[in-house]
Amino acid sequence: MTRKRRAPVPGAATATAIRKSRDLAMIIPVVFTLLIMKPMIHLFGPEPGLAGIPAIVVYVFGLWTLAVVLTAWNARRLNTPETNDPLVMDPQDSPP
Amino acid sequence: MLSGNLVFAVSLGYVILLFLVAFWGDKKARTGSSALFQSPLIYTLSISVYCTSWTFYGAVGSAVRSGLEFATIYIGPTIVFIGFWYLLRKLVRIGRVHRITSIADLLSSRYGKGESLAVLVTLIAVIGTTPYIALQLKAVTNSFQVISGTVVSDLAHPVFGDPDYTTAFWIAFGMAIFTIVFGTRNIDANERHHGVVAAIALEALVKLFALLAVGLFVVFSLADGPGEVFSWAPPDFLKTEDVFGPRWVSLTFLAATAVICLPRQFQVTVVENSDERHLFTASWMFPLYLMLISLFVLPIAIAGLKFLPETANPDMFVLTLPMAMNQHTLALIAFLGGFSSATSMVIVACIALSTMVSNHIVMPLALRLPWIEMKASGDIRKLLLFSRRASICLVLLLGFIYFRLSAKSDALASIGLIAFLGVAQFLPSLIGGLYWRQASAKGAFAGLAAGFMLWLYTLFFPSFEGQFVMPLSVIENGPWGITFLQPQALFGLTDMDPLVHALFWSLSINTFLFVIVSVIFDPKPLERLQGALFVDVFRTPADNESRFIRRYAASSDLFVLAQRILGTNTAYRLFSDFAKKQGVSGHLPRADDEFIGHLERELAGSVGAATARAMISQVVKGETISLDELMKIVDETQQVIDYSRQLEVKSHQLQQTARQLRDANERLKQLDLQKDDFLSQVSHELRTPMTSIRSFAQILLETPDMTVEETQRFTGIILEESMRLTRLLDEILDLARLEGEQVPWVLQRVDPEETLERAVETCHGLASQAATEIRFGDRVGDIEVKAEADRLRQVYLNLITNAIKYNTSDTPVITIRTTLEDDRYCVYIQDNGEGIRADDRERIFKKFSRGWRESKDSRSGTGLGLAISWQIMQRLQGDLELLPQIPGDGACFRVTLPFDSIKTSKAAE
Repeated sequence: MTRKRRAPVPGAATATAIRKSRDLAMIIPVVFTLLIMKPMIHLFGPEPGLAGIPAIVVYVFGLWTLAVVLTAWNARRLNTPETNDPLVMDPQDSPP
Repeated sequence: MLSGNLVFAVSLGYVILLFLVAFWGDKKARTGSSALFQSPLIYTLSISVYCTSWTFYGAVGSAVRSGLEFATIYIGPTIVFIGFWYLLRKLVRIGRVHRITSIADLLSSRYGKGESLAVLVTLIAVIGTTPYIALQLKAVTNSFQVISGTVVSDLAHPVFGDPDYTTAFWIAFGMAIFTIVFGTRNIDANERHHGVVAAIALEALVKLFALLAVGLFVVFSLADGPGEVFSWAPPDFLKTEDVFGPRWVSLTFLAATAVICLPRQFQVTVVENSDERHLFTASWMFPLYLMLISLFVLPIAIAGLKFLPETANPDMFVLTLPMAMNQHTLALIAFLGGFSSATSMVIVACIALSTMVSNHIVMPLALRLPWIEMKASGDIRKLLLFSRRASICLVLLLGFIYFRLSAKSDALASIGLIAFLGVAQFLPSLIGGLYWRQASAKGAFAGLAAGFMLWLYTLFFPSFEGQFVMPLSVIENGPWGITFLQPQALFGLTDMDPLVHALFWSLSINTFLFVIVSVIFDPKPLERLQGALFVDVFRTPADNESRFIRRYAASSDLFVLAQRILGTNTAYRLFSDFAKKQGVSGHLPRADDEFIGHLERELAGSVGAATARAMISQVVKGETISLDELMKIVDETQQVIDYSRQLEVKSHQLQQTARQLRDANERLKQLDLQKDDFLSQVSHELRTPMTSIRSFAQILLETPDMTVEETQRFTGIILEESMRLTRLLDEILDLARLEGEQVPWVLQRVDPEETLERAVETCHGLASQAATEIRFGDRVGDIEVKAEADRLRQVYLNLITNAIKYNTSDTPVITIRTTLEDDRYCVYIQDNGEGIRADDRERIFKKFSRGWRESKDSRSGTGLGLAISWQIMQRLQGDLELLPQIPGDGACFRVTLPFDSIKTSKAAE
């Protein structure tokens, strides 16, 4: 989708896309961790959710699958030669 | 029940298959067709050594006891892998750049390549892993006994009576053989163990397949879909009310830590990684594997509770459920799955531990022993291989002894999590080392030692329930009855799950000491350097190291050292490759800082950073670490400056490229214009003679009564014009050839003076016709230049005929003189005509531009002569110029050529 947009500076679109993917690489595990921990996970209980499977089981495995799919999608976007170029890399490219 | 012999035969067949696969893998790798083994899929599958028999069998048991809690063991690693970009990628990069051989090596290398830290880490790893190996032995032995029915006849027995030690011993023995054969082919830990990896990948598939098979059987054969299975579940089976407490968080955290810090995980994820990009695939494929492995755990647990007697051991449900349902093939598959998960863990753990033990304990000791003073080529290599093999046997033997001593107690059941917490002690130093420059060796050592002690005290020893080291009274009442120091309620922290309690105390004190000591004691220069190289691994290549460490050594000494460790052939290849890179002839490169750094890294790939450094230090002299340089890279401001300088350089390069492109484009446009000009000129020039030929031919045709004289005159003109046409075409062809030729001319030694005289002689006829006098001025004499005689003569002829033809003077005179000026041979050809007008001077060397307005000769030239002459002189590496006009004088052309040598000058004689 970023391809279709006008890119005034060549390479700027790719750099933005890479930065976005990199942010996503941080967001996916953090959000996954938050969702699999207490306040959220407590919303679901042993009551049947989907096809007789308890809601909590559907929730845990559904979340897990979603994380896998998102990571697979994002990893493909990240796996470009540019990502290893130190110049595209953020100077503060390290977690807090 | 399956007969013991059948089970034995099947397992033996399976083991033989594993050996064959490993052989095949090694062979493929040796013949160079190892693409399959270097695929991201194999990499991901090998990471699944994480799933041991403890998870294969134990997950169901854990689900029976505490519902969803089992999932934490898989969710933790999932978080680490989906967040691979921030930690694993850095670990893998560091591992590859610094040729890290194990987690002990990583920590030691990061904290100044010291030996003591590596020893401590190795010790923790061995103590944590040995019981874990014992657990695998126990699981395999138990499952063997269960499936072959030697112990239980009714599946109801919770305890299996006496374990079969003989079976356990032979299993351990077989694994030792396998590991030695395929795990110690070479000493370079960075060289991938293709055979082992291939076998591990196969085992990963087998265990996944086995669990899925049992799960599918339960869900779709025993029950009518997942809904029915869950309807069998006892009330509050999932225990959703209390399972998500602190234990849920702690276990997730521990599992996440374990997948990074466990020696075997480090081995497969970092050391065996052959391509950083494989991580991109593993980042989602490994979580997917974990998800699939845990998908059917709950259904199997529920079905086990429903169909098996109440006393049945839930830890064996995966195996006993198919047996109870008389599904013998399925039971056999499940058995093979458990067998696979146990053996793969033991093999990889043994490789990882043996590398650590031999590199960080045996080697440093051996190098200090005075009697191990061998100097033969490859001696250290042999010693290393031997110590690796011995370490493998030792580790397995320790595991076996441990199993033998504690097999009857339940102490083993919880060892999985205990081991997780043991290796979790590496985490603060590891994370700190990767992201915090100030982290120092002292801090790491203090934190690790304290965490290790607390782990032993609060979790490891109490887990034996009074049978080992710590008596029961101490566990219950604290040492000497001091309840304040009670191992499982330390400092009065009661009412806590023992695991969470131990996790809290050991890791928080570990982290606290690590941070405080690091802040108080500044890191030493080498630590600082390594810290900077590790923290900024994406920006500073390892070669940078040589910028900071200055040391000197003799290449031959280094070679002796290298061949002792690597063997003669590898060392020779390494040295001659580097010599070639340096452009040095022979096989010994210059022993500069860069080479010593490179060699140290290569050796570190075999013996670990600490030993490699110690050995290099024996050979080199005058090691200093340049503090100024170091401060530069440590200083973050400098980093930013460096970074923006890099940017500047890059944008400068871009600008340059853009300018070059613009220039090239401009040149192309001009060439295009010139081509158009040339074409129109050519057609114009061709048109003039053509027109006169046509019109005279027409006159001849249309006037039949023409006089003979007139006919002759007209045909003469036609002949002349057509000759001119031919000449023009010849010259165009000549010029095109001159301009188009890519190959330089082969120049020969030529006497230019003689060539000049012959040219003048040729022009005599023309000169006397035009009553022009040709005079010679000063002459150089005997000289030789490199040129082509015919072409040079062509230039002379062109200049002289021009001077004759266009000389408008009443007493035309041409003066020719030759001189030597600054290594150049010059010929001046001057006439006394009216010269060339100022506005024509610029373009006389262009095509079809005649410089002279009038000519004595009716046959005017083609306008290509000077252009051709100019081209020729360029090709002869000389020049042709029109000298500035001196009022009153005619035109003066100068031909210059570089000259070679002067023979004796005629003038001097």
